[in-house]
Amino acid sequence: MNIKWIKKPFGGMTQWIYQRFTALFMVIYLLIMGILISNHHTFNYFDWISIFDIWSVRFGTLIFFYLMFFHAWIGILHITEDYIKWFAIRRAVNFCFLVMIILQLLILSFYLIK
Amino acid sequence: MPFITWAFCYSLSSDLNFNEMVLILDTWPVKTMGVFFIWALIHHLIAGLRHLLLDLQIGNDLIMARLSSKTVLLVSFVLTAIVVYWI
Repeated sequence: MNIKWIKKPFGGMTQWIYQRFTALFMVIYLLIMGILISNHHTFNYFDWISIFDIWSVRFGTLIFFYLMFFHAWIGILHITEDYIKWFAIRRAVNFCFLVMIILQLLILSFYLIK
Repeated sequence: MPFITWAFCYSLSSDLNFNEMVLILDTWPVKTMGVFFIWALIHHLIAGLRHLLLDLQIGNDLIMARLSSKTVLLVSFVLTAIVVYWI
């Protein structure tokens, strides 16, 4: 089986395409959330919780955070590749960021699915 | 990011936690950081659009590229001011 096809379905364009489409989703999500939140004249805990009681908002928020951390992860890979020349250190820094991202996604999933 | 993740989950978890979160977010150091964060986000967004245009070979010559980078800086400040005022 050709693993490269799964890792890079669009060849050298893969990361570029991922960055643009995650960005597109995130912009749309932020605009919709801005509208939803500004629809509330008062803003207390029950307004806040009622927004996230909507099934689609909950689902969209979860997708938003997954895509955002994926977007950030590609960005971090690019930055460390450019600025950290020593391979072992670069791998260590990338690993630290990956652990942070996965932990945050686990916590967010726990709170949003609960 | 860890702070935002934590604050988001914490504020959703209960009424008391939400009010505590609002009190924390209402202090001036957090607000200042918030404004900076909004500016960073907006600047990232517009600069991303500029790079998309450059990828489409629009404004590739030096004069246009410099002009558009300055425009991005200016527009990001203006949009930040609008968003902060609106909040």
